[in-house]
Amino acid sequence: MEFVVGPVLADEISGIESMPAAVSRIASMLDDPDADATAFARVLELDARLTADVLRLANSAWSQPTQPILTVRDAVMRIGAAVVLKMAVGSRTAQSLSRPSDGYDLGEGELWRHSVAAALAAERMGAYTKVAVPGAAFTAALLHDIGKVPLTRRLGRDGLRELWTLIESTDLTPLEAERRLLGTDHAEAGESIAREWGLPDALATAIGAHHDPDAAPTTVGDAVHVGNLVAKFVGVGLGSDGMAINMSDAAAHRLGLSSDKLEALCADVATGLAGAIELFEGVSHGA
Amino acid sequence: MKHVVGVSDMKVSRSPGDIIVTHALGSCLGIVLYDPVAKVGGILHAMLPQASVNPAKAEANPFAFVDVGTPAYIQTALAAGAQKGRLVVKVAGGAAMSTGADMFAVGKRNFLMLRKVLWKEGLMIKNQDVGGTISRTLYLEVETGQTWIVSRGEKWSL
Repeated sequence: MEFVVGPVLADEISGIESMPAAVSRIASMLDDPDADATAFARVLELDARLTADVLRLANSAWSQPTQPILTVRDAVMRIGAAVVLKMAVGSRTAQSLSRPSDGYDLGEGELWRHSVAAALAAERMGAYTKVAVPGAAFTAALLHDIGKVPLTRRLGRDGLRELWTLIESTDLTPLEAERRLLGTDHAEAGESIAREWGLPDALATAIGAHHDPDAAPTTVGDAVHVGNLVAKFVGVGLGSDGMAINMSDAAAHRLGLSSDKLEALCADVATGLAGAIELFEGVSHGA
Repeated sequence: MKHVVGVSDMKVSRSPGDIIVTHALGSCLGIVLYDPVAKVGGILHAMLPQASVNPAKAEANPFAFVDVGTPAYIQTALAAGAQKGRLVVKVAGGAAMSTGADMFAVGKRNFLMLRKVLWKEGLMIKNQDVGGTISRTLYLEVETGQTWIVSRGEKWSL
């Protein structure tokens, strides 16, 4: 598959703090039944900042250890490899996603809160769907709008104003308007970033397809698509595009979500959101 | 004083200097109640139509849900000095996604539920600005009962 995105936004993408190699290693190890805490620890210990983050989280008020946890292996056993992965991705992306994004009319931290809400929705979704939702959906949902970061940088304030004029004066959706102006859109740019970071294919594909999950449906892709909508329903990160996005009923049907289940998921996410944001902020700000 | 009403919350005031605002109404509903004689007014920002999807949450905070939150909100306004026969009701929000069928029509279901609840309460909607895809910010000036919406840098009265 050829990516036109790379060259188009190459400079802006390279300005985003990259995912450490350890993150993609952990992401692929999650599906490996033979990978135990020792194996995860070996990967994590290659990255000093990740090691520090994991130890901090394992000793935080959130995980409440009875005794201080001093080794990465014990930390992984305590909090679980999947949580380590979420936290590793979260702590690296919080900063990029927290900057105010004028063009999308999202205040400081709002895109980040939207991302956490979508991730929480993807994570809790399995309790409401008929199919099992893979753990990768959380990470993919957390990163689904990462492509807005290079887009915002490229367009600048004037470019973003132009983007909005285009959307208001034509029938173009925000995504189509991005393509008209830049030759790419934030979903495609996000997929490109995920591939550059070496994240697993399922994750990158789901990010790229989050506004169009029907072309080549996957459960992770469907979960990210619906997770983004749920974040909007609970009122987080509406931005200037509001609800002006396409949604796929087919994705909900594939997941086996009814409208009642969808609303129950919204209530669940709204309840857990403050705690999830706090957890990530504690880690990324070194609390 | 300016009061910001968050998602799943409400504010009723009888202080003449107060402005009540709620931001980013997407599929959520912003419901204004105002008694022009007592000069008591408020905004409820409800998220979902029915409490039955999560009774525990509804018990902890009824204002997340239109069906149980609206009657509780009306009671709050009455307790603050409003009279039901004088209450003016205005509604904003209830937006929908660009495409998709009823599965995701949370905004529409919110509005249908509100009409049902108001009918039971014997209240009518005076003005409404609902549907579409936009995100709305809703304001109420308590002294005058004036209400307005701001969206994408534009402002109009409700």
